[in-house]
Amino acid sequence: MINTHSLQETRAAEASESEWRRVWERLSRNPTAMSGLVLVLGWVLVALLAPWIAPYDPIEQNVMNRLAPPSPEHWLGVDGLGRDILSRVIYGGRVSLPVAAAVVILAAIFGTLYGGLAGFLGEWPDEVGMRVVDMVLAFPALILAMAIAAALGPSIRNSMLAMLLVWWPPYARLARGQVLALKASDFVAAARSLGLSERRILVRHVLPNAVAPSLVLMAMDFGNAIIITAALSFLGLGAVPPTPEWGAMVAEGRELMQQWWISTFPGLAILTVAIACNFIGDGLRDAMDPRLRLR
Amino acid sequence: MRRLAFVTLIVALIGAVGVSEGMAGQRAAGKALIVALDQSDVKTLDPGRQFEYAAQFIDLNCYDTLLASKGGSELTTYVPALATEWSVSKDGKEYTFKLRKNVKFASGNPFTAEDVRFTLMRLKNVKGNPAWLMDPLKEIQVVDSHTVKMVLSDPFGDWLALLTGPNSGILDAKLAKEHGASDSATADKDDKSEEWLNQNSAGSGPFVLKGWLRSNAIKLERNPNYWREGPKVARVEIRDVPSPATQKLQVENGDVDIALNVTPDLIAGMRGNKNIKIITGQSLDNMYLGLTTGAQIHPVLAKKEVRQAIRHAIDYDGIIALTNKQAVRGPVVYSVGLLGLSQADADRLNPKQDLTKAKELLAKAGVPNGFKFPLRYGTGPSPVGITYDAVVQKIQADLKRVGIEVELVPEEFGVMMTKYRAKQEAAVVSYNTPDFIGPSSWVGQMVLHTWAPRLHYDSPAAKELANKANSEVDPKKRVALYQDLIKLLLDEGPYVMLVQGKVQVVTRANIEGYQYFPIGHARLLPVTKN
Amino acid sequence: MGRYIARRLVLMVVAALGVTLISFIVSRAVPTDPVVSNLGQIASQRPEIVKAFREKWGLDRPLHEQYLAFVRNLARGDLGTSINTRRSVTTDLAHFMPATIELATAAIVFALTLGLPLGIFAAIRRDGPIDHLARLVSLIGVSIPIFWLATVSLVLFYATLQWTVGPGRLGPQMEAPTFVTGFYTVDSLLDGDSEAFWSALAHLVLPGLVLASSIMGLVTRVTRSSLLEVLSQDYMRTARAKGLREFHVIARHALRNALIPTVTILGLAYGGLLSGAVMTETIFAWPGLGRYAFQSVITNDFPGIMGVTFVIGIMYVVVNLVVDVLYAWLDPRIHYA
Repeated sequence: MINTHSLQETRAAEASESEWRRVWERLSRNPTAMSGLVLVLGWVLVALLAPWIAPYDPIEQNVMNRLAPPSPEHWLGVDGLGRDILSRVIYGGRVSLPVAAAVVILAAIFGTLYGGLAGFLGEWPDEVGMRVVDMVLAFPALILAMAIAAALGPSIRNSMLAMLLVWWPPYARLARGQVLALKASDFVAAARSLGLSERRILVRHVLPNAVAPSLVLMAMDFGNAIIITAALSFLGLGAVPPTPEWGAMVAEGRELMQQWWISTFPGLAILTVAIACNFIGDGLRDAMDPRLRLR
Repeated sequence: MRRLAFVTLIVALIGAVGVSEGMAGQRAAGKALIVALDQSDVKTLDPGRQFEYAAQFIDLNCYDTLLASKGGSELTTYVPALATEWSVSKDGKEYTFKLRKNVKFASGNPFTAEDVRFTLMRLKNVKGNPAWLMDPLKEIQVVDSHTVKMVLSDPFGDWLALLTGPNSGILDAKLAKEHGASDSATADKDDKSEEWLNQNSAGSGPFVLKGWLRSNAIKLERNPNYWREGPKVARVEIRDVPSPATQKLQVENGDVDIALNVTPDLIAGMRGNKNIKIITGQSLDNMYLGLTTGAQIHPVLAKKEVRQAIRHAIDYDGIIALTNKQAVRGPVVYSVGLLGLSQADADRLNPKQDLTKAKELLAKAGVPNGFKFPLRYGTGPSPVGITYDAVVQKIQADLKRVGIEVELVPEEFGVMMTKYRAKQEAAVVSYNTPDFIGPSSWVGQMVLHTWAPRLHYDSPAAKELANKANSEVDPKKRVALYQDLIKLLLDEGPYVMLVQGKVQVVTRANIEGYQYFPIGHARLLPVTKN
Repeated sequence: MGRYIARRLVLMVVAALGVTLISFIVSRAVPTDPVVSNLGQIASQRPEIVKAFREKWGLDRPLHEQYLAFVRNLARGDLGTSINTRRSVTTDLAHFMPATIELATAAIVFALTLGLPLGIFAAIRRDGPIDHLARLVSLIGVSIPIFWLATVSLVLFYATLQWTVGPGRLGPQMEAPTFVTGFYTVDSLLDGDSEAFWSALAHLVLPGLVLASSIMGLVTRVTRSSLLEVLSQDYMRTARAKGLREFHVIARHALRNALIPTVTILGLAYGGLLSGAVMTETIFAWPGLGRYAFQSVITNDFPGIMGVTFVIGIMYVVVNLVVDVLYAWLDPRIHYA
């Protein structure tokens, strides 16, 4: 008898390798996704080249000229301590981008694996696992952030830690929901009837399909993550002043309506990065969707 | 799909109708005075227990004290209120007050000396936040129905000042006792009136407290039995609006008559608006930089030349600019406006920015190339109109110019305060708000207790001067003693006084009679809404 | 299913308790001493005042005793007395929770009625103008910091255009309706006060929309993405081959399955909104749970923290239970043991 088992497996293995290549091919043919990618890379470049392209020192103060509107000397205006906003926006990416990326990606990976596994195993691992998720969700992140700030001191790394600890549950819930639906679906039943082990089914077949909504969330979460770092600075976490950071800059201007440039420009930075990530996320979802369906 | 569209339409319709109806209802609003005030710090409205800004406001208007501060630039001059005259014994320990006759509380109960005795003993015995105000009091005697004698354990120059504060507002003893109030020695356990006093007032003031919906609004009504000519407005609604920007929008829109928390930067953008008025007053709140004198905490800061150097390195005008010029330099001891300390005095006494001198002093102290120290501060707003955040970044930049490297450590305000009180800080930026309007409030905190031990400042010479000045009853002698203290503090003290804030209140153009008062915001008695 | 729900409800209490325990432990790491937030500079140096304060609030007892006291009281239905408000936490919650629930519900309703149709149309007319519009709208809502959006919307719609009412739950000088449920909309109807009803409703619009904007984007995208997946599946081809109208096909067959991630997101969002949105509440002067929780945390008001944490824990569990039940209803292939 032909070993259909290993034949299937080999085919599956081949499929998944060229899979990713095909995903990339499709992605590169998507203009919006590509423009998103270009935009993100652009910001990364700006952040890396900051010391060479920023017109002023981002922490140099000029108190007598505080709150001045955009002008030929200061294209984006000046903040409450007289610092050039353009320079601060340029430098701000160096903190905001890596922090948001790290938090969102790590939280998504952990959350999706956690939720996927829980949903797949079902019964009491699922029950307990999801109750833990409930508990983390209900936990006042505020206290956690303050405790971390008090115990470990203010720094951007500690604010990342605080965010990570509470950021993963939505991914877990999303993945679990998807997995529950998939578990009951036809093609998983088919895979089972072929005799594939549970683990293989989970890793090769279920998880990749469960990932799609998580990808969408990830893309949208990026902007959110930058914004939350602003809230954390109120609690003593976050980038220690005078280090520029987009979220904190937006927060600084929140009560100043006349001086709109203080919040608007870093806000636009966050917005463009968030939009770019969304385009990438969308493109990824579209590229992955029909591909991963092993028929 | 059709059903969904239908639902959307219905929701939109309800929303639109609701909005227009709601707005119509608003326009038909009556003649109550609407005040916007941030009430996040209020815990209670009981005059025997409260010690927060917004609560002081309520008690100032619902209760009367024996005497009142003249206000404006004469804060330590007193005028009669519930007492018509008073005298002090030669040794400064006995105060006799003659009380006003024919005064009724809002409830109709007559005002007598017993109410005074009850109020002050309750304040002391309930052991709440403001109980220590009555520390100097040894005993209080009801001489007759309209005469009270207070005996202090030691002479205290600011005793009258203590009696003008809203915490000393006289309670209607009969009414309060009906609702569980007690002045017994164990009043902290016996007194059960707090919740009732949070919703009602038992006073003789121009207004009566009619209810408090937490985080929402406090309602006051005119007192029909007021012993003087009553207030012009019949009702006051004090809404809790914690965001200054929102207050600005509300007062511009006419939904609010008086906005008390609008920040200087926001106000700068409101000038020229014909619908509003900006009323400025000199607050007594200070922001200061505290440097430790304890060598075990930071050996370099412990050297007095280093602290003097820092005093000369800071760009005070720059910090004032940060407040949009809505602040003045605070002098070293107590705030401008008190006991003979005018703005001119402050200008004369205060250290000026002088970078050369600063560098010389650092060299003298043995650190010509500067040094490092951590500076802790609280995130969030301060009472002087700018954030600590902005000020410390300015200080960091200033000190950098003389080679001193400041490491900024932001903390949530409560966390910072706890560590500060634990005496572990090398340097902090914090604020001071007067507990009562008398110089000993500041002097006590700076030299005798509170800040001094936290910064390990223990100077027998300063303490002796402080105690002498605090117990001196003759104002002229007091001023001279305080001036000596100022010189001493400028030489060896741990404080760098930064700014003393001005307060700006925004009112609608049709509001008259609002005048800022440093403790309790303002008296609403003379306010009219045309 | 009934047994399942019952079991979940029991676990709910356990989960909520678990959260309080963790909160208690973690809040101990926050060095803010309640004495600092409640007693002034001088009062905190008077030993007898501090002693009276500590005794009153049980702060002088060892930690585990404090926590056990909380649990014991909880069993009797007593959540303790808040140090900040000086009254029972239950009373505090009874006042602040309805305000937040009202606002959260308004936000979800807006997010659903605006976001869901948009997501559906975006999936059906993929890459068409509606799809691009949906994308734009959802992006803007999610990428803008909510406190900024709140302020800007107030400036624009309230101050400049005067299209809506201002902050707060009711107009100035209006009396709050008699407290029955705490929901101003319901209570005012019970009072027969139509002016208050419309005012309460009107005041929900702007903050509701602001909060909805952050969720709407996600609802739109997730719905779109999920619907696209479902639409490309085999059984959809079958339904179409049967000759059913496109609309019927979508509504009957595609939508139910596609909605699972949407329901997840809405559940998470609702839970998040119920725990209160501090910034929005601050800007709109809304007396809700968010501000109360925030104040409790920064002043280390243990009873307040415990009470809020417990209640929020319960709410999350309930919401998630509802979501899980909805899963089973939407996709009959899903069943729970």
